[in-house]
Amino acid sequence: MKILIIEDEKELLESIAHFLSERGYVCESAGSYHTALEKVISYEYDIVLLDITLPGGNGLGILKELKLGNPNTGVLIISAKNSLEDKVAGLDLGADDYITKPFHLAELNARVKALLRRRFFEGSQTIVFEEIEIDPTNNIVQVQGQPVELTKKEYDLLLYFLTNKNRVLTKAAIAEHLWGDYMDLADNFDLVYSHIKNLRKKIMQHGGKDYIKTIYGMGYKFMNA
Amino acid sequence: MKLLEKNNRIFIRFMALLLLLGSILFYVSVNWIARSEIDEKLEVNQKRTINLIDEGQLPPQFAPIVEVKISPKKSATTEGFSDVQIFDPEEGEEEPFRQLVAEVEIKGAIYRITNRSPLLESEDLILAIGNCTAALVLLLFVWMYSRSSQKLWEPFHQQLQAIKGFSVSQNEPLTLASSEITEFEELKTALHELTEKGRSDFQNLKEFTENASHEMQTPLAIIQTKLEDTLQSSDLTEEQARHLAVANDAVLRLTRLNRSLLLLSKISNHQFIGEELVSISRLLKTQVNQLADFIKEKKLTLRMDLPEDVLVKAHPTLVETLLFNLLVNAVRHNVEGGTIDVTLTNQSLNISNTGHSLDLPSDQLFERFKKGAASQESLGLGLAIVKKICEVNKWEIEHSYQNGVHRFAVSFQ
Repeated sequence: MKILIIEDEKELLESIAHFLSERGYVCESAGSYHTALEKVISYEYDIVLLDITLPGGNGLGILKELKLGNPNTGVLIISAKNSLEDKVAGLDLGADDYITKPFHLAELNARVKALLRRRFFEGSQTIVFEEIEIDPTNNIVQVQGQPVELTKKEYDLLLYFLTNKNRVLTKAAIAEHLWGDYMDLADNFDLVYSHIKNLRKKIMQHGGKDYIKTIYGMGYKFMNA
Repeated sequence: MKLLEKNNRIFIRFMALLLLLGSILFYVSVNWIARSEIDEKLEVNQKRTINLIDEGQLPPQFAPIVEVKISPKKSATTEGFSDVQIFDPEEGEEEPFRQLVAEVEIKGAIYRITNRSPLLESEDLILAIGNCTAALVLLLFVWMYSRSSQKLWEPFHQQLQAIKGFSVSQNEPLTLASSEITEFEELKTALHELTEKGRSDFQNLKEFTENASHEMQTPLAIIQTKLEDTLQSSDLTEEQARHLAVANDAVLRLTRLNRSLLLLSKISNHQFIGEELVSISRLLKTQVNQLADFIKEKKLTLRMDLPEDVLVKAHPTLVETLLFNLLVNAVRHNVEGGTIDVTLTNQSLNISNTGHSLDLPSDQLFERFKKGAASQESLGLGLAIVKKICEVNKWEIEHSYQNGVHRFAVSFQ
């Protein structure tokens, strides 16, 4: 999978590129409007991460150009502006998703994964981790071949963990993924803990192992013990 | 006292004095001119009388205008001009006369010739002048009050009215009426510059807040990303991990604060354009669903009385934000096992929740960064945003606290 990251902030660009490369993506980067435009016209990418505010021009211009040449490329807009107009304009021009700065890299990863599933596998591909299997099209989870009844939040949580396995996920990042803006209410993250506890219990009841490791004071990590 | 009244008083006092002096001067000069004219005339008449006698005609007799007496010898009485009072039997009163007396020797006889001319009665003259002056003062008074107050000060009053209604946050410049009076034109220019300065400063300040919030997003994103990268490292000591976690929480808090400030300044800047009919009932249902986890966690009882499709005309994002903030508030400041009541009608929305009493008065509740000492996690911006949204939509919001229940009432009219 080839990803083009268009972002003018060098440090942020490096972090994103490093993170996604580690996940096995081939990453290219562009730091300005013109380099981005050149790359978009000359090469083909599966996914483009697009910052709207760029030196030299508006990222929406790149989006237009991109959609003319390669309409199949998935586009995820990254914006510092939490503005509805940009969001609406971006989605109207054919962007697939929208994420506002600052964001958790794990969240970015989850969005990229979801985008890839939607665009290229049409959701037919199941996600497998050891004895756990998720069918994202039908929202079905199986452990040891046995279907597991999960609540919507537990399902989201498991998918998020599997997408970001072997990575420390802070409680805040998990809360934001599960509840979006409502995470404001998850003051002490007790709720995150209780959802994780329930998920863990359900998986283990069906003969699964406990892969959710608690990283004291920070969060959780989904990993093969 | 009005400036106009003060000005008129001074002016009228001065004018009255001036007119009084003027009248005296007028009286004196009229009197003097009349007398010298009379004296001239009397001299001419005297010459004519002498000539007549000289020609041998009968000396004219027309008392009291001309009297000629033949004296045997020169009398001791003085010759020349003098003023006399002579009784007029016709009018029955004494009348003032000017007389010229001369004793002339013609052909051996001594004639005592007296020429007289009636004088103006001074009281008549004083009365006439006095009346004229009084009439003038009255006229002046009426003119000043009617014309000058109405016409002259009109632009001033218009300007005053315009400034009274001025606010630095208004979108249009102040409109002031033009005037042909230099001072008022200068005042207009000065006011225009002043208000425009105020408006543009205010605008800059608002834009500054917005730009500052925008510019903060990217560095925050970098900090957050780098912190999370560092968290991935496996050889962190426990203390380092704890520091990182604290820093991470602080960044999150800053992010939320920044987003709220940005939202607040965007609402103030009227950047949410495009009203549409929004169903509050539908939005409330969606939001309450999102809150389900938190309501369950706090063991809250939620009671809702929602009629189908209560519609309001507003920007959807703003309505969503309003409901979000009020509902989140009702959950956050609730007590374990408490209640939330949501009642919606076509006119109003009431959200009540059990909770502790506040240590700040109701009216301060909606101010920025005002929050109860107990709520550490709250940013203190939620209700300021709610208030702002109500303001731009011209809705009323009220808070009350009674018997352990907080009640927020929004009325849509």
